Amino acid sequence: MKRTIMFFTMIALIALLAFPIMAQGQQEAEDAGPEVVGFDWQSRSGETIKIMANKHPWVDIIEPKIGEFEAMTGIKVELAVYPEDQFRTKRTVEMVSGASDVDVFMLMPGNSLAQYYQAGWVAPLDDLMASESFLWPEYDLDDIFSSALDAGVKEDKHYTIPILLETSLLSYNKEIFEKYDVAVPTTMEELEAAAKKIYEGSNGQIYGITLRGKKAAATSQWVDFLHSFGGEWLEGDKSGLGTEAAIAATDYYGRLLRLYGPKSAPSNSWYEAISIFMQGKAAMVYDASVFKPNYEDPTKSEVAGKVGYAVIPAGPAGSIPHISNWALSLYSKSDNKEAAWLFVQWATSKDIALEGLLAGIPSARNSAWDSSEFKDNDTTPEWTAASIASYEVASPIWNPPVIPVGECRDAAGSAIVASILGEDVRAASLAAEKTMNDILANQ
Amino acid sequence: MKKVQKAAFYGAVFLLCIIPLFVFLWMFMTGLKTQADNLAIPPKIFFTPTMQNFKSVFDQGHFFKYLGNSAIVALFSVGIALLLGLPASYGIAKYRMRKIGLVLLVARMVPFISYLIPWFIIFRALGLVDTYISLITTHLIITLPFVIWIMVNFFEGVPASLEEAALIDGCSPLQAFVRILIPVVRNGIFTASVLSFIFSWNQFLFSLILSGNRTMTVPVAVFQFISYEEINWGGLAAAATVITVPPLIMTVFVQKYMIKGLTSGAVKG
Repeated sequence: MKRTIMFFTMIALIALLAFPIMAQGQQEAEDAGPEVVGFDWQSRSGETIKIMANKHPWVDIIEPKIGEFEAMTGIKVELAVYPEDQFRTKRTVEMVSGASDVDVFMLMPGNSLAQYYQAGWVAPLDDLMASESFLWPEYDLDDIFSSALDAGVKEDKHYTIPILLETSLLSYNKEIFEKYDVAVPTTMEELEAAAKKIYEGSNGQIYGITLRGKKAAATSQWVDFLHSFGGEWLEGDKSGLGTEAAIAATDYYGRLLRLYGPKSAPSNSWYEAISIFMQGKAAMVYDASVFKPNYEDPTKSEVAGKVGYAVIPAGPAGSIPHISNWALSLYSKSDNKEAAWLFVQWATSKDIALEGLLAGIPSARNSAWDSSEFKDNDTTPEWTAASIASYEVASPIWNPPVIPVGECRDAAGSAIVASILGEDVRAASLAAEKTMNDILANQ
Repeated sequence: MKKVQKAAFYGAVFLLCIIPLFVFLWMFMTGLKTQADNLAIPPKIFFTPTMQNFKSVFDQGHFFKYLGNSAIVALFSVGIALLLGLPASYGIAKYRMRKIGLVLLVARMVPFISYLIPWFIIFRALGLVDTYISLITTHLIITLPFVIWIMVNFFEGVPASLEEAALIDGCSPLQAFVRILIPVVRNGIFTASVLSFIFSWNQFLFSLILSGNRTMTVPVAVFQFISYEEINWGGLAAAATVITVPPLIMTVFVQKYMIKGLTSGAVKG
């Protein structure tokens, strides 16, 4: 009796161990497909690719079209979509485990590429980008804004293909500007004067400006003020948070919110900041250009049709906004990189870029902005003009160009909050600088 | 005098309940409002209710499928936990092995995220990611220690003479366990089942990592109402309201037993 049990247990264990090995054998057999010469959408027909995406309006555009891609290529696509926080958690756990079966995932290079590159989770794309067999002749890599493509470069190799290119814009309520006789500010002094005039003119009923003030979240907009005041995240390889320019920028940013902004500023992230603007309770907001469809949607916004757009006003160092982008990357351990690359090309093609732009997603492709179809249907030419002007002067840096991005953003965030609350900005900035240097020294 | 006491008692009950009830009511009201009403400042107390959010919960996505997934995972993980946990807790209680009980509890107290990566690697290798098996097995870490820990107290409360009498009357040990002991501790079983069902139902992290499109559970699905640029408060609240209904019904259903179970557990504990 005991022997029989032992026997079956052994069989079960062996079967269990053999399973992954068998599965691997099968995959290798599938990989050795016919050698392809010349581009053919069908060349990887029969493969299945898994895509992990963040719940983003761009995904809403491609999701219903995936059937078209499947029909064209014979590749089966499994798309899993998660909201941003959950998406980041899941993506990180799967990457850390080293056992993910994902082939393509969304990534914000400015946020995560340094980490993903160092950990070896992303695959270089250069061979595929130069491949005669797999580069779609109509793909036109040169049409993609070089700044967006370059954001995905590490040590001369490309790791991401941009799906959109965001910048930040100063959005203002034209009605309020007219009522209080304020001109569109072009310098930081004018911006503060405008905020003051409106806030005091309305007896505090209308905030001059609303901005993010919530610690780390605020840094992605504050950084444009930092750059425009002549500051940098890094001075050499040390923190630049304690320089005179950085202190001036942090002081200015906090002062705007303290004197002319909502009391809730230190706990506001983008959602709260733009909500206040959309309710007509603030005259200006400085935040990402992708929020235009929200501002202009009359079912959500009371300021629809009344919004003007401008590039960030000039500080001592000029107008320096930033660009940031979401992109697609291939998982380095993917077994279906060619099929995945076909998907990436289709999903970032000219047609989809144009369709996205028509829906308000700022395209990373020149042809979309240039197309007559977009120009004819453009309901907010001011936004278009401001976006393009902003791309031209923008810096690709918005996060500290280091690996511990989150910790350094937290450090800068505490100085921003201190400034909003009217505490000693110099002391807070120097403390943030020290914290950041400690983080950098310990990594 | 009695009346005053009674009034004071109900007053205190009211005060204790008002806060959780308010939160629940607010969630329900949010589900009945349009997005514009939900974003209004100050919040609107009076508004025209709309069923649109509840409708959208069932229209878009496969909410029934997610509810079914959650039900399958929770029911099986509770069922298996009872199957394994009842004999285990009986043994622990009868032979005074409290230390083993403690070890099991520690397994539950370890932060769940530390299990997650090894589990993901194992289930990936076995091809079990996005299957019920992986979710049910992992949810056992929530339900099993919980069942054991509660049931040990109940089994300890059963006089040894009861079992001895059954044995003398001709029961086998297994019969004595199933026919005599289990009915005696049924209040505890109800309590343990309902509470561990709720814990499993609400479990988010395991479900996020180990499920996929096929086996997504409701706590993960609820977040589909948050997108990159906006939060659909109405839809989110409507979905949250819907998913609280099954545990709620279950609680009401076995409430009578549960209250006995909870108090006796408390006195013993």
